[in-house]
Amino acid sequence: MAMQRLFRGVAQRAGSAVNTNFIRAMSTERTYGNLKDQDRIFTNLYGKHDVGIEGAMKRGDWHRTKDLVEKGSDWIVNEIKASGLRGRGGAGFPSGLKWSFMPKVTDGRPSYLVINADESEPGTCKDREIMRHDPHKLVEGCLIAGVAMRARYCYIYIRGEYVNERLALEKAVKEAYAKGFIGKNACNSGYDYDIFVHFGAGAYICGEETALIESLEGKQGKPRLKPPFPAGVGLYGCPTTVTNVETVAVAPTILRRGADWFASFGRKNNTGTKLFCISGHVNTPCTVEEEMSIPLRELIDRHCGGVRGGWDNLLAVIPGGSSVPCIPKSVCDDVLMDFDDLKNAQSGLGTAAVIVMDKSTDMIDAISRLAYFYKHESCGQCTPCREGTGWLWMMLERMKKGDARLEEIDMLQELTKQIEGHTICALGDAAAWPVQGLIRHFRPEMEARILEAAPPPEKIAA
Amino acid sequence: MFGRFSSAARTLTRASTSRVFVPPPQVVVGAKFFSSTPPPVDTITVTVDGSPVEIPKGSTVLHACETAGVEIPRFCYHQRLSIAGNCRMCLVEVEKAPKPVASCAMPAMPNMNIKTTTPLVKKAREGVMEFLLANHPLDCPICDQGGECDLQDQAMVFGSDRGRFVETKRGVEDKELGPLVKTVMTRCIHCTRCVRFAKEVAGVEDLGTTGRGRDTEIGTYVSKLFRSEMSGNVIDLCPVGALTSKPYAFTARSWELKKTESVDVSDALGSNILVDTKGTEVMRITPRLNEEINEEWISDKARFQYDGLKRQRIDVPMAKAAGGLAAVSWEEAFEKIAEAVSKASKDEIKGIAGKLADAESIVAMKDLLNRLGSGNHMCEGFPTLGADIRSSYLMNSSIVGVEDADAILLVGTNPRVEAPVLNARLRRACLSTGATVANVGSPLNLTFPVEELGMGAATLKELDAQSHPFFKTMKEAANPMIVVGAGLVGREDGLALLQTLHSLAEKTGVVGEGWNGFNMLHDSAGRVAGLDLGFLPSESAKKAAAKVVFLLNSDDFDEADVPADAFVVYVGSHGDKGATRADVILPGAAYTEKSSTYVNTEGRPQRTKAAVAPIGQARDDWTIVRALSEVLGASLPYDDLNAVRARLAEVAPHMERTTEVEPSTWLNGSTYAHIPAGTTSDAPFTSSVANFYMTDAVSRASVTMAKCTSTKLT
Amino acid sequence: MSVSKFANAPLTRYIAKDASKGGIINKIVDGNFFASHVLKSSPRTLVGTDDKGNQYYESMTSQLGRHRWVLYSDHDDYVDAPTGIPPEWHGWINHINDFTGPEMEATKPFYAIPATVTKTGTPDAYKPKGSWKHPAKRSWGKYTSFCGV
Repeated sequence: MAMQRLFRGVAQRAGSAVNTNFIRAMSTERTYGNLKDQDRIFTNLYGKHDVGIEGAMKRGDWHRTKDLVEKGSDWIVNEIKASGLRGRGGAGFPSGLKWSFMPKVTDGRPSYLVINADESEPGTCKDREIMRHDPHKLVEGCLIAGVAMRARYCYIYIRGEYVNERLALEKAVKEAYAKGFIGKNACNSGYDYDIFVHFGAGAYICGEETALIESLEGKQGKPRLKPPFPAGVGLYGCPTTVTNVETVAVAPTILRRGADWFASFGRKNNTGTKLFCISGHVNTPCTVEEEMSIPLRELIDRHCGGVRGGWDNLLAVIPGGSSVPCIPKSVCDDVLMDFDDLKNAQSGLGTAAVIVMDKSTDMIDAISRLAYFYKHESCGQCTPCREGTGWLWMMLERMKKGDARLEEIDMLQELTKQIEGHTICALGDAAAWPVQGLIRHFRPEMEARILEAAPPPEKIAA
Repeated sequence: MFGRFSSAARTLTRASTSRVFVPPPQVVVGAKFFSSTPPPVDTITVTVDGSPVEIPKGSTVLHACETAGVEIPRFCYHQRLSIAGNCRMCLVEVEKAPKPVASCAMPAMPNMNIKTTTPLVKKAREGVMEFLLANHPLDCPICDQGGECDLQDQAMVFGSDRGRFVETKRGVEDKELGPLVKTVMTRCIHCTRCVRFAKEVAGVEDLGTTGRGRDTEIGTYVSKLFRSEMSGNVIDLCPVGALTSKPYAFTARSWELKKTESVDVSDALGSNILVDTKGTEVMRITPRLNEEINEEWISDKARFQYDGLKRQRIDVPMAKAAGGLAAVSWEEAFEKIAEAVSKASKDEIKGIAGKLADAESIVAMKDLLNRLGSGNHMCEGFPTLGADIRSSYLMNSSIVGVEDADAILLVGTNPRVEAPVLNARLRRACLSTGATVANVGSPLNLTFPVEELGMGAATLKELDAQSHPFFKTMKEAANPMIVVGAGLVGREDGLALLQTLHSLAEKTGVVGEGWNGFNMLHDSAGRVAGLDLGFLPSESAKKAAAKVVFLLNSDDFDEADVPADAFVVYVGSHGDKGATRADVILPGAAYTEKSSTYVNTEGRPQRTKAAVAPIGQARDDWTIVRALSEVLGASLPYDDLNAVRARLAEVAPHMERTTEVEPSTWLNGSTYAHIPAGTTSDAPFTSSVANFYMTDAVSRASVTMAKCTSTKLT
Repeated sequence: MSVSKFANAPLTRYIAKDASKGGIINKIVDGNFFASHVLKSSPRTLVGTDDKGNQYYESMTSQLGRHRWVLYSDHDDYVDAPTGIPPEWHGWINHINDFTGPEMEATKPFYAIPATVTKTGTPDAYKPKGSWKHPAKRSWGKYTSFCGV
């Protein structure tokens, strides 16, 4: 990687127009992508095989789970740490570290594992595929993660709109109970473990971990103040860890095939395989499991049949679900799909929901629609988000038509800064970032729109 | 001359000869926020704006800043409510923290470096203020909160000097919360203080938030009224003008008002209040902080009965004439009284002290009657019992002490209507420290779980006989408590019941080292002063039939105490039951118009201050008695307020030490030992207060209270 | 009231009344009197009379737009009197329609009260709650006293 950086630097210093992909190919550094079939974790992602427990067991699920359970929580946590797995829900917090925050010795309170299956991020549809077609991966992962956290109870909080997913998952849980894989004396390991599937009501904010806990407790889904963190005081006041579906679902396979195998994919600190959901202006939108750090262009070209109208027709990409800033084509050319490289590009991997927009897109309208989404989904608890999201939306609606003044773009930027970081949860940040991305990369378009609608006063005077 | 001296003096003499437990002098502690938690001993040091501050461990960053003398703006944070952390106004910068932190919710860590003056903090506050003002209407000139509005003040200090919001403002439909609280919901900034107050202090989960995002509204979910006896406190809590007082609406601006510190007389707690006046009119009443009594709450009756001070007022002396009562001069009125008194013999002259009677007028009346040779005086609603021992009629645990109790037995009382502020403390004791509360009497709804043991005397006997399971609970409790209602004392069998209760108190250890949990909860402000001053009938007077009756603010007297053929003189401020019965009416001052002493149910003397002048020809009650004494030929030896207070202190020394509680002596159950046990009736115990909103002459005259009564019934 | 009573009212009554107010010379000089009682005295048709006795005349030989007029039964004040014309005659006298009062009677709602001359400027004028002329605001009494039942 250092090599790649070096070469990039050289290319920039030299001012040459050499394609960085070419430099990457020239370097001794390995390239990423083109995941082989035998390395795929989700082998029934497209539902072509039996979804039930028999089919899942044929694909390797529930294979010697007892041994994994009996290895104990420290071993599991260490393996996950060694694998370098980072949370797949968007923030990318190292999972092994997060799981190790749970108390080692109980003070009388039970520990809870809560699975965040409230997948509501626009553009994201990875957890849905898992729950629909590979639910046993998740159910087994719940047991493994539960053992790692010394939890006896697991709640799976499913988004309200996911009706078929819930039915599939409930069926899978029932099957696992019938087989004795979970429940009392799970997998004959002597470990009692129960899984409950809870059905949300479809609020985006309930995907935030503390809001999810509140909702699970039967209250209004409004985020709690942190600290205390859920690992200390969570569900019903007990230690709780909330993790994403994908993070948990990949855990059993990591343990079976070894942390080294998983760590062999992707760049350092961005290891593993990942489900990418590509939507928008591509020829074949899809959800696909790929290696981390795959170049964005390769991801789109290889799996989605390329951008509609060719790569040059690309306008911008939102690389990680609606809440990360968009990146223009110039950045898309050589950006790698992982946490660190996208962060360097002032965006984020998020949930790896790639929203591709070609040149037919009205960028301001698109971001305005996202602003409307955040205005609609703000819980209304804290001031900057409650008042700010609506304000952003109303301003963007005007800017869409060019009904604004040029200095209002700066004001919009300032408003996003006033929201960002001042709220209880991350929804404020999520609402601010797309707008910031818009201003960062598409300011000329915004200005042109405004000038087109109303020429500046001096021109009128002249 | 002063034949009968104070009960307090006699208490001391008897106490010295009996087997007694004398509690150590009570130390009056200043601020007592959470009595259930032990005082923090560990302290940590943090740095606020460069200067180190030592604060107790577990405090918040906001508390650290307050200790350092740095004012942090806030809207949602309130020290008596749970932390919501949603207004984001209290953001401060903490070194090494990636984002500004909400100081109200962030626990302070050792060696934390807190900065409140950095550009980041300034920008954050300005930003939050801009968002708050974005959807806040610009109607300060017609807003009742104007001038005392947190948002207004903080916008001046922390806000930007211009607005940038040019979009459409939000409009919210107003909610109907009843006759007391007016809502202008467009002004709401969603701090949820009212929601938390209703849920945590009032115990009425009527308020909540509906909708989300920009469409969030505070409301009652389905349209209904906010039914709490403490609902008025949300008006003070609301940092903006969303919740304002309905009776006060558009009557005055806050800066026009003169504030007078006074004491409430609507119940026996003696809550501290501020009387806000404009000219000669009382415009509103607000609570005053007193940690030992009412914290910063008052009941709705205390807050809203003030319009009763402007209705049914007696402003001239009156006397019964051919066609009913007619105005007369003071001289004529006194002559009529003198004539009637001259026809009566000693004990046939009677005095009854009412609910609103102050200590000065009681002692003057007592001295007058004694000088006329009569010992026939009594407190209204306290007919049969003696009051020789102070501990037998006081709230001995003190109001703050209620929170230390872990097993509470309510007997014939409904604290929710008799003293709502005390009920909030009971609720806290029950819910936060897990005290068990049980009730003997009519079933109660106190906003917290109460164990219903039974309806009447039978259950009490069962408890005394140790055959009831709750006896064990009390016996095992560290600080058991009995709360006896005034309704019990007024009963025919009150004495027998009190004997049983004293016996039960002894058996269950209600009184012990450093703890006296035997509490009497009175229902009127004037009662304890009367009992302290020995305003009780002498033995000879008990049999005498009264020919002349002086009603001192007494409107709820027992018909039997005022014979039909008696000549009745009413001294008071309001035309109520007493005035209608009277032959001569002498206009007295209401509690906002005189400086007088009231003793609350825990025996704490407190003084009201005259906020406005008495109306018409009305005078301070004790001066009326003083003038009357001249006419009756038994001149009282005091001519000014200081002299009468000196006389008060002579009779009951604790009256001089206002705002302090004099510890009382407990006679280990022998209080009533010398009296033969009476029989008890099977009638169920009930509270003495049937309608919270109408208990005395002032609240009965109030239109607001009448509206409350009618909405309560519907 | 019967129409005949007012239709036959002697002209002298008006003249006497006017004379008592402003002097007969002024009244004759004033165009109102001259126009309505002399110029338009003939030919004219009495179209109808309302409850208060106002007489409504029409003369098709007069100038268009001035061919309808009213003689007030109690014409003390020409300024205020027009506000007392009842609604059913309003359309006719203002040339809005050609329906006379009796013809419009059917459109009168059941809750209608008799039309009155405006009270503005008189002691009976409406004073809103907030007005300083409202009796409650004029009162200096801050309390109501006990009347002795």
